[in-house]
Amino acid sequence: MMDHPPFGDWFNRATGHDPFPYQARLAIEGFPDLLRVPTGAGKTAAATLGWLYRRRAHSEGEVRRRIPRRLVYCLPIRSLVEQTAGAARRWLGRLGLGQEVGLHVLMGGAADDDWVLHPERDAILIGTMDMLLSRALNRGYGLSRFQWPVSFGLLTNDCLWVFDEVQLMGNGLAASTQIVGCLDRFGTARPHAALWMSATLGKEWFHSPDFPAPSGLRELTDADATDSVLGPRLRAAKVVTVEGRVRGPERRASRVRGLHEPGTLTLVVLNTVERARALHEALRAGRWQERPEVILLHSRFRPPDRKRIQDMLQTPVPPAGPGRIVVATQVVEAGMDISASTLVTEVAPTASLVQRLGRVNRFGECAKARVVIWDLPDKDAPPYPVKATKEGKEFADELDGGSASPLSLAGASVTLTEEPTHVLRVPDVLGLFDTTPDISGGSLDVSRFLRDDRDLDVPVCWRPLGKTAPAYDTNRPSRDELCPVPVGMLRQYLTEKQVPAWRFDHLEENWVRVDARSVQPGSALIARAEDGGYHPDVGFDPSCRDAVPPIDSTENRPDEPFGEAPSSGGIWVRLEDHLAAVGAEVLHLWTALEPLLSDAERGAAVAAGLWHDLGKAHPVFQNSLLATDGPAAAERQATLWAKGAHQRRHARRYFRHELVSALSLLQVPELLADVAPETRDLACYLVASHHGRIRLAIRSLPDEGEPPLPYGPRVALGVWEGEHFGGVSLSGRVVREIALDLSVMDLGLGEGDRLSWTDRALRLMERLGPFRLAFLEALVRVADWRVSAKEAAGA
Amino acid sequence: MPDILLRACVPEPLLAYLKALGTFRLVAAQVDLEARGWWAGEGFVLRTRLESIELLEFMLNRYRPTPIVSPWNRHSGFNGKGIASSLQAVRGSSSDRLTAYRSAILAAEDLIKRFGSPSKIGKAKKARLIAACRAHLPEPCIPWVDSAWALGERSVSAPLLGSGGNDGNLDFSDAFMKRLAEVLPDLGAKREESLRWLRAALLDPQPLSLRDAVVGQFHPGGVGGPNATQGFEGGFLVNPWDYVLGMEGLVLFAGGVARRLASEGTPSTAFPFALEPPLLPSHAGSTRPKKGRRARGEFWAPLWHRPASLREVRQLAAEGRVQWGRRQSRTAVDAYRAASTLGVDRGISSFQRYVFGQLSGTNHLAVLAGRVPVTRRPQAGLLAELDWWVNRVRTAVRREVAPASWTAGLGRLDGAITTYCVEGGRVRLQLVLVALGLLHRVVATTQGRLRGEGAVPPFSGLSPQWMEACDDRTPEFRVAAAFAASGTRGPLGSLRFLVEPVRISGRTLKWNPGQAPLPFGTLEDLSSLTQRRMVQVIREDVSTPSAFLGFLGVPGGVSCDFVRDFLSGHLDENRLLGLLSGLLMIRWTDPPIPTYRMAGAPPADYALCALASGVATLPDPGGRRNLSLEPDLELLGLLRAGDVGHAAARASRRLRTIGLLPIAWPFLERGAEFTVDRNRGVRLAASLLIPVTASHGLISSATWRKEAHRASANA
Repeated sequence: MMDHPPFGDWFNRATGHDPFPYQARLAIEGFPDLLRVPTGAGKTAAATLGWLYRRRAHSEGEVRRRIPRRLVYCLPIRSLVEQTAGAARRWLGRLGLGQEVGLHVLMGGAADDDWVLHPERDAILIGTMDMLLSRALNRGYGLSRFQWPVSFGLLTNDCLWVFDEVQLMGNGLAASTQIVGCLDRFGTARPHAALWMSATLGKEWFHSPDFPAPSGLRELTDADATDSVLGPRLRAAKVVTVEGRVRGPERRASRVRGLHEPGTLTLVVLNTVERARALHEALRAGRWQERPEVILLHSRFRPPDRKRIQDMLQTPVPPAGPGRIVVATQVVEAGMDISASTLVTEVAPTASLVQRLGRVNRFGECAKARVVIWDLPDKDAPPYPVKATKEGKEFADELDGGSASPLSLAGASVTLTEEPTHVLRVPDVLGLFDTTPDISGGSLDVSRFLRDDRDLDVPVCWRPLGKTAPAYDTNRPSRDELCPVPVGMLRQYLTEKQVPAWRFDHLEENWVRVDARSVQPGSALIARAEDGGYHPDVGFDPSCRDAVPPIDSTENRPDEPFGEAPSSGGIWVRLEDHLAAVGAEVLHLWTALEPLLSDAERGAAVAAGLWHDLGKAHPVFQNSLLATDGPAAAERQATLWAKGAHQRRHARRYFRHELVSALSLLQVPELLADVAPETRDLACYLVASHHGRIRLAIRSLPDEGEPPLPYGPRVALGVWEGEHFGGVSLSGRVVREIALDLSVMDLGLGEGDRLSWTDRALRLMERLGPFRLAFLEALVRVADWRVSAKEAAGA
Repeated sequence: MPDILLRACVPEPLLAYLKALGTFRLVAAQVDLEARGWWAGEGFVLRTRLESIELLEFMLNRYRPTPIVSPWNRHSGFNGKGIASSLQAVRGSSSDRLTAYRSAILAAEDLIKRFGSPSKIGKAKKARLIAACRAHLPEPCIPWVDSAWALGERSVSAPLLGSGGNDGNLDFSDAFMKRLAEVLPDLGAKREESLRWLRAALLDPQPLSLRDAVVGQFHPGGVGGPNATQGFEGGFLVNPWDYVLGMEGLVLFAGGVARRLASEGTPSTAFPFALEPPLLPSHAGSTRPKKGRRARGEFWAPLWHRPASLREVRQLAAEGRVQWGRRQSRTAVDAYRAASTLGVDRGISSFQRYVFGQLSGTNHLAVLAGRVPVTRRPQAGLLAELDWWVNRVRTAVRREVAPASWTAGLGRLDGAITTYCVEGGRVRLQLVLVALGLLHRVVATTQGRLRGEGAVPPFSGLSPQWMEACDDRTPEFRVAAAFAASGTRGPLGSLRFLVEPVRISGRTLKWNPGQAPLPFGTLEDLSSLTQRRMVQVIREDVSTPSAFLGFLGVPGGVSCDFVRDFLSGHLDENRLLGLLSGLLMIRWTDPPIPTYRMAGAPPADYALCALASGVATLPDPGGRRNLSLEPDLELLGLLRAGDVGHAAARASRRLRTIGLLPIAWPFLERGAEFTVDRNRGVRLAASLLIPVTASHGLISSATWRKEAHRASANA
């Protein structure tokens, strides 16, 4: 990236067309907090390429350095992720950056978390809100408890967060502003930034307790309105008519028939799935001279079915044919790249109406685009609040009889449909840093901050079971097989149709039949394909009796998405070599990343790398490596090993070498002689936390028994108080023999006013803040993984 | 500077405990970040750079109260109609130390404007109001909101704070502001009087002229116990500082929403050290216990003896969170175990155990139920052996597919486990064993009636370590253990396979539907087991009849002293049988079969019957091989009928056929020695199942050998 081309040329190379004026401004002048740009004006390119240009091609080195390495593109729905990732991949390819800039997609069931292994690389992460925000809150979905801190450290440091389609984020919107507020408040080890964007957003949406009013709302300017490509799109007009209530599917169907023009696309958007399904059926049953293609789209489909339907929508409508009618719910409001000539919609909150209007005559290609808005009685307002629908009606009335274009709608005042119910607060963020399980084995949960708790869906999968119940070893449903069904509707279905359904019970480790009462949101159910209830073209449909065609899915969620390379890479690695290599790797990463931290902290991190596996010198660990027979075994006894060809289970249950490492460093401070005294605790913490198991507290496991006499009384993670360790020389240093002292586990000062482990760790968190500390944790762990991977590859 | 001993801050009542933590929290958060605190014999010790006089000065003049507001409550002062005077006083004050409080009140009033007065809104809207409070009130209020509510998918009120910061008509926030007005000079309190109270609240417990006030559940003495003559509204005397500082301490115990696994299960609400009682037998048959007078739960207040920082105490509270509000017995029982474990890990010396309940009218009380010493837990792993099976039973009970008797059995077991966790000891552990045995019998008897899928398999058994951990050296235990070991070394296996419809399939236990469970609640039952065993031995033609005892020459068995005690009827037989039902659950695969030293001689009738029934192998007079007699059902029948005399006579005759001469055999065979004693007969019949240590002891005590006789005659 050694040339600094003008943005226009560079953008053209990526996309094949020139940037719009506002896109160029973003790339050259920098990002605001908020961006409000109508649908179809290229927000995604503006954000993605704007970041990429500033990060890699901007003429000022200072700008490039200040821009975070990672672009985290956060989307509220899954279908948008695939679309955005496709575009980003294309642009990177055309710019020849496919190798240099990572592109990673994080969605439920398909999370690519390998990016954490390359924190120094520029990367684009595109994912769903729940996957990304849960990681930024140290509770990464689909990751084990022990892996949480790594993605937490790397997603809160060195990232430009882009939140797109913010009107659909629900509670996640407040979580996003609060997270950014906390990043500012507690500080990060690398720069961070955030951008929220949508066609419809109001500045007041972003008021949250710990987020100052957003700086600057960027919108289109006159230059954009007169742009030769963008201008016509912005001025693309549609005639709006507000009609009274049209009731009943038949009457509605005949009205739609009357509005549909052959050879074009008519989009009908209804607020509930039930009404959409009824209208779809009526349209298909109705009499036509020449029947257009009628497609139903809503949220209650299995992902592959929905994808097939969406692909169908992307195919152009043959101008000579009877045309196409799409009956949809609000799912079309985002990410559906279609442009209809006619839109029929029920009245909805303003933001929704603006989005729906954006699906008509998108590119100004249609001379007589029409929009018909149907009014609704208050009782039919749900899922929207009556108040929001009323506001929408007023907005529609203003448009009535006139012509609406993106430009004329741009200034519409849009209120957030629903206030967030649960807002992440600062004490939550601080509390979430801890990953030690509580007495009940739980850790603080974030789901309510990320999704709306009004959204109460049960995922259901249909499997051909014949007349039987699922067997004990029946696979859990994969994501592709699951169709979300609202809990109330499912209960009604199960009661009325008397069909069985099963859920997996973790206590029994078996499938148990559920009755309508015991259906709970969130836990997946299996139903019998033979009982019907779902149709690939209609989605969940209680009246459907045909057997449900199964989804052929081999997708399985990987248990260990990244890291935690097992010690048995099949090769022998000397402990000294491994420690030296990790120390060097930490230094290498530090140099590459240039964290905004002091030399003392660097010293602590490097020392942590140099000593992290010291505890592997413990006989329990060495014996697990050396337990195998063979001619070489005796020879190996003389050396301390970090990895061996066949590691067996430790003879002592739950033994954790990193606890031995950390205790030794506390008790033999001379090993940390090179580390500034005030950061020695940091080095110990980073050593202890390098597998994510020992962080703010040292806890024994519930069924760890007493250590044998004369050891004890304390015991934790297979380490016995009072047992001897050391008396070895490693990396040119002698680790003198000590009796391991577990009294640091206790609450309060120990002998000689020695601070407890928890006290030290919490002081670190207070001093560095949660984000910097997690960044350092991630750094040491990533260095360890990378060295282990190299060692395994070198075998 | 010397540490300050807060002599008035003692672990009991709860209000005083909380007061200690409140004082500590305020000092550490507002003046001295390095302050430390711990519990000593006489009270709470504070290590701070403040002198005690400075501590008083800080509290009186500078301490900034936590903005405790509960706009969701009817009596919180935010009722929309005129604002309560206490709230008005804080709101109208211009004091700097109340700035945060004022802004909290203003923010709460904004919320009330949006949501409506708390006395007028419905349940759903109230839930939204509470969520909005947490979302929008200033940050210093959050710990208070979290102490009152855990806001998950539904809001759950904290066990320590009644129903969301109020108890009946008493609103804790309103009371807090009233007490503030009595102690803060900024709100018009008399400085001298407040200082006197403060000194009494912290340093110097002495009677004072106190205030009439309602303090709520934290001070049962102050509110009157169940026998209090007056109602709640009567007014009680309290030091207002006690209340203020107690509430300041209470906010350390903030709740939260947690889940066990990130992606599985639903999140649940949790509060620090709040333990729900497990489902007790009295609630049998209904998963939801009746409302009304019942213990809602317990609060285990940790006591520690090392100088701890505030951050450590906060972390302890976070780690101490326990699922609350679901009434899941599983979690409740686990919590008792885990709380003790956490106590051990953190060097907690003991927990003060407070039981909450609606013990008097509708108001809640926190009553001290003793102290739970935190000891090592050698047996924690033993309890874990039960988990998988008990959880299966629990699931069936929870899903209401199991017979009601399961609920009762499970409740008894949960109760036994929690008692053991609290009190410890071998006897308590034995009760767990007994409850397990009873529950298993219930399950074994009725598992066929389980509705729906998800059958409960037989319990695979306990490790032999249970033997050692339960052995309290009483004869009851040892005799029960000997019965339980019967047959385990022989081809017929444990008595368990006789009394319960279980069989071994491969390496696992399965139900054996063809077999009816046998009762063994009485000694009669036990004696009929002897009969079954003998029939088995005869039918299956077991070459060594003594095999039915599992004797087979393995040293093992029980002291004859114990047999004598058993036969005499001096043992607590109900206990023995209960223990036996539990001990049958032990897997005797690799066990030390209980061996107890034999002392003294066995009773002669027992020795005769045991020898004649084939219990013991007998040396062949020819010396070629060991002889043993076939089991004798007729002999057994006589015993079971209580005809000990005829049984002994028959035994004697049998022994003579193989060359053993019982002592005084002619008398025996005439029936002169023994009378009819039904109880003894039954016990004798049952005792034939007991493996005894060595046969020659029996022989020597009951017989002399023919050859020996001859030899002596020859000599």
